[in-house]
Amino acid sequence: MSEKNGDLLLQVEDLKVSFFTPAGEVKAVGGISYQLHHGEVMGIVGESGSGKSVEAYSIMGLLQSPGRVVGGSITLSGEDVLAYDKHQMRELRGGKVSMIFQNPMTSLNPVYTVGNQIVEALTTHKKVPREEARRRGLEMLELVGINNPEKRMKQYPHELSGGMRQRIMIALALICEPDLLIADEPTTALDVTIQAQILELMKDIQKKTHMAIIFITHNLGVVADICDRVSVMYAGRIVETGTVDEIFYTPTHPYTLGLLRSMPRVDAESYERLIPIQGTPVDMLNPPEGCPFAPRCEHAMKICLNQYPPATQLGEGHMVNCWLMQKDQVLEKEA
Amino acid sequence: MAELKKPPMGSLQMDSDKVDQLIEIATLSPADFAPSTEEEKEHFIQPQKSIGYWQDAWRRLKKNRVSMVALGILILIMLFAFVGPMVLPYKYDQQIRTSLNLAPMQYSEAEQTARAAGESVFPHIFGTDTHGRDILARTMMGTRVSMSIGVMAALLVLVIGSIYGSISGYFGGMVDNIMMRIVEVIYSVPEVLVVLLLSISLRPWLENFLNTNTNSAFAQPIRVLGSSIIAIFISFALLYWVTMARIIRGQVLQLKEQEYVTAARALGASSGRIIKKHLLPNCIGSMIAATCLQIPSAIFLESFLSFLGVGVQAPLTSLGSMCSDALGGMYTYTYRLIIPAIILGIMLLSFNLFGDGLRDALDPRLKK
Amino acid sequence: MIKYIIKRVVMGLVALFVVSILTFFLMNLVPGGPFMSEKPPSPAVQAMMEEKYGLNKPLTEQYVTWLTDLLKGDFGVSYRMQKNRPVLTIIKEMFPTSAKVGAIAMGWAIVAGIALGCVAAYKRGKLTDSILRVVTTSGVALPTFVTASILLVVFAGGVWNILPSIVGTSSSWKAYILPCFTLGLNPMCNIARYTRSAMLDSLGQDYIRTAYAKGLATPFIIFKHALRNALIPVVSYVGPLIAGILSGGFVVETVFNVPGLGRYFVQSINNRDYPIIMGTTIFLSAFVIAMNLIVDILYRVIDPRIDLSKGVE
Repeated sequence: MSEKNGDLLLQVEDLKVSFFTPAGEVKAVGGISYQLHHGEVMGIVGESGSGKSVEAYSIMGLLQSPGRVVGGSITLSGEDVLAYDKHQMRELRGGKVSMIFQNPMTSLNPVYTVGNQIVEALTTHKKVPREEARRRGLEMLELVGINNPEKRMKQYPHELSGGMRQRIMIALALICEPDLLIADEPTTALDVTIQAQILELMKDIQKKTHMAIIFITHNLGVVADICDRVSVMYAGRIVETGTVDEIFYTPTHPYTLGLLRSMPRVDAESYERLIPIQGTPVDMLNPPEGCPFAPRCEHAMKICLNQYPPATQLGEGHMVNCWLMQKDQVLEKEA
Repeated sequence: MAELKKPPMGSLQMDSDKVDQLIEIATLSPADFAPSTEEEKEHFIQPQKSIGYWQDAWRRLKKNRVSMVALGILILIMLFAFVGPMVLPYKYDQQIRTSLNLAPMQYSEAEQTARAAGESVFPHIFGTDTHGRDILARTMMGTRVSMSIGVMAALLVLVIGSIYGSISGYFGGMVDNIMMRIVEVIYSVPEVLVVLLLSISLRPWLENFLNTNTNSAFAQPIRVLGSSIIAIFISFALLYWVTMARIIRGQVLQLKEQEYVTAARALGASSGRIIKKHLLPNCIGSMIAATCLQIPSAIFLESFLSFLGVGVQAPLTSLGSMCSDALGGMYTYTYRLIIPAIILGIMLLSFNLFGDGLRDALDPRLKK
Repeated sequence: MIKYIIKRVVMGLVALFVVSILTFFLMNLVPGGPFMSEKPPSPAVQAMMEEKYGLNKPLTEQYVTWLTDLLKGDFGVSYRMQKNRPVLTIIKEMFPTSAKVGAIAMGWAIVAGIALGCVAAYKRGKLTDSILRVVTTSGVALPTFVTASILLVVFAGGVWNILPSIVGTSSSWKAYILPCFTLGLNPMCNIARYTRSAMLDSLGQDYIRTAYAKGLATPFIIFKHALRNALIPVVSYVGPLIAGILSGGFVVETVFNVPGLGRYFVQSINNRDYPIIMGTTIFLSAFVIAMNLIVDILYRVIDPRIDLSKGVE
C-alpha cells in the first residue's frame, strides 16, 4: 500500500445529503467537497448535528431512510460510489472502506462471541478456510493490543470493557485491510485514559498499515494528535480546512477560533479563561440564506445574513468560507 | 483540475460556481460589510414553532389513518348502542308471541295483515329469535352492555393500578420490593380459572344475599347489574390491575430519576407538588393509552364468560351471550351467531387499533 | 442462576397456594359448600362427607385437610358427571387429548408467528406490513369463540362440509385441523406482533449498523444478527400465551366437541360438579404456573448476557 502513498483515494464533490422528515426536508449536508489521498489522516471537526457523521455514512452507503444523497459525487479510487449496485456496495463496506463507531458498548452483537464476529468480517469478503480466518482473527486481536486473544475469541462482548470492545471494533475494521478507515467519534464514549490508549493504537496502526483515515470528532484536541489535515464543519458545510498547524496556529474562521478558545490548552497562561461559543446551532429544517454561523458570530456583518460566503484560499491547502476575508478587499477598492 | 495544481496533501478545489461568487464581490459595497445588529441576528433564525403536548399528540393521532377510522367506527357503534334503542320501536326483552323465529326483514302473519290494512310496521331488520324478541334490539342492548362493562372495568383497573403503581414507584425501597412481589404472585395466577371460579361461586352467594337482604342498600345495584357482571368487576379489581400497576410504577420510577424532578426537589418543592406538577402530567399519556387498551380486554373477558354460560344472564344480554345462545341452532339460524360475533369483532378490533394509535400519539418515545 | 430458579419456584408455589385458597374459600361461598349438591344428600352420604372433609369443623381446618389430601393426590370424587369416580382419574383420562391439541396449536403458532413477524418487520411501512398488521390485530382482537364458530360454519357444514368438526378418540388427523388451527390463531397473531416489534427494535441497534458496515448481505443480517436478538424477548411472551391457550382451549373444545379436559371443565361448571371444578382448577393452575416457570428459566438460559454461574441481574 505504501507505494500508493499520496495518490488520490477519495474525492467528494459538492455532496448534499437530506433527510426527508414529515416536517420537511432537513439539509444535513449542504454541499461539501474535499479530497483524501492514500495514507492521509483527515479530521472532520464539528459539533453534534453539524452533519459530520451523515457525511461519513453516505460514503459507506449506510444512510438510513429517510436520509438520501441528493447531489454531488463520491469517487473512491476512480469509481463512482453513488452509482454502485447493492453487490458492489457490500464489497466496499468492510472491504475497501471500514468504519468504527462511537459507542463500542452497543456496536457488537451481544449474542455472538467476539471470535464469531471477527471471523465473519473476514469470510464475508474473502474465501478463506475457517482455520485460516481464525488465525487471522487472532493476529488482528494481537495487533490491536489485546492480551490473551485465544480466550477473548470465545468471550461475549458484555464480558469485556469498553476500551477492549473498541479495540475489537478496530480489529474487525482492519481485518480485510481496507484503504480507508472512517472513525466516527471512536473515543467519545470512553474514559479519558482509555481514549489516549485508543488514539495511540490508531496512530500506531496507521503507521504500520499506511491506510487513510477520516477521523470524525467534536474534540479538536484529538485531531491535533493524529491528523495531517483538518476540516471544520458547521451546519452541514465545511467552513475552514487546512493542515493541523494552519488550523491551530492561524485559525481564520470565527467558528474555528471559537472552538479553539473553548478548548483547554496546556500552553495557556493561567489567567486565560475558556470562552464558550454563544448561542445554539441553526435549525436545519429551515436553513437560512446567509452564513449559518452569523447569529452566533461576533463579527457578523449585514452581508453575512444575506449570502453564503465564498471560499477564500489562504495557503496551499488552507481554505476558509467567511466574508471577513472579502471585507478589506472591498473597503480598499471603495477607498 | 487536480493535475494543474496538485497540492501535496490535497485541498479544497475552487469549483466553478465559487469562482462566479468571487466575481460578484465586485458588486458589493462597504455597506454590506457594516456590522449587523443584534436585532437582525434575532430575525435571521426563524424560531421553530413550539406546540403543546396535547396539540402535538392530536396532530400525530390525526395522521394515523387506521386509528382515525377505528375512532369513527367506535363512535358509530356507540350511537348504535346508546341512541339506537331509543329510536327502535322494539324493546330488547319484549316477546312478540306472533313473531317467532322470523328471518331478517321477514314479517309475521299478523304484521302482514296490519301492513295490508295500511298501517306502517317497522321491519325486524335482523329477524327475531325463538322467543319472538327483535334481534336488532337485542344486539343494540348487548353492545351497550358489553361496552359499558369494558369501560367501567378499565376505569376500575386504572384507579387501582395507578394508585398501587405510583405508591410502589414513588416510595421505592422496601415498600416497592414487597408490593412488587405481591404483583408477581398475582401475575402468575392463571386469571381465567380464578375468574371462572368467581363467576360460579358468586352467583348463588349473591342470590342468597338478595333473598335474605331484600331491602339492603346493596340489593338494588346488585339486582341491576346481575351477579356475573359483579363477578367480572371483582375479578378485574383482584387480578387485572397488575399490568397497569407495573406500567405506572415503571413510569414513576423513571420520572423520579429525571433531572427536572431532582431540580424541583433541590428548589424545595414538596412531594405533593412534585407528584402534581411533574410526575402526573408525564404519566397521563401512558395511563390514557393503557386504559384504552384495557377496554377491549375487559369486553373480551366478559364475552368469554358469557359464551361459557357463566356471564351475563337473561333477560339482560351481551354480545357474548347472544353468540352462546345462537350456537345451538347455528346451522339453521347462522345469522344469529354471525351478527353479534361480527359486531363484537369489529368493536374489539377498533378499540385495539385506536388504542395502539393513541399510545403511539401520547407516548412518542415508544414509537420508532 | 440457581438463586433465580429458587426464587421463581418459590414464587410459583406461593401463587399456587393463593389459587388453592381462592378455590377453596370461593367454593365455600356456594350454599351448602362445595362437597354437597344443592339437593340435600342422603344422611348416609352426608355423614360420609362430613367425616371425610370434617364439614362441621372450622373452615380453616377444613382447608388444611383438603390441601393435605390434595398433596397426597386425593382430589376428591365427582358427584354428578361420573358419580364417585376420583377426580384425578378423570383428569388423567381427559388431559392428554387437550395437551395434544394445545401442543400442536402452540407449535404452529410459534413457527408461523415468528415467520410473519419477520416478514412484517422487514417490509415495515410497505403494503405487506399493513396487511399483516390488520390480520394480526384482528387475530388478537377476535375472541376465540367468534373465530371458532365462523370457521365451524364455513368449513364444517355451513358452507363447505370438508372438515370434520368432532374429534373422537379414534378419528383421523383431519379432525384435528380445525380445533388446532383455531386455538393457535390468537397466540400466532400475538407472537407475530411481538416478533415484529422486537425485530424493529433489534434492527435499530448499533450492532446492526456494524453488521452493515462489515458488508454483510441484508438477509444474513436479518436472520443472523437481528432475529437471534429479537427472539430473546419473544420467548418471554410465550409464557402468558400458554395461559391464553388454556382459556382458548375451553372454548375450542366446547365448540368443536373435543373430548378433552377443557370441554369437561365447562360441562362440570354447567352441572355444578364442584369437586371436579376445584380439582381441575388446581391441576390446570399448577400446569400453567409450571410452564411459565420453564419458559422464564429458558429465557435466561438463551440470553448470553446473563451469566449463568453468577447471580441474577
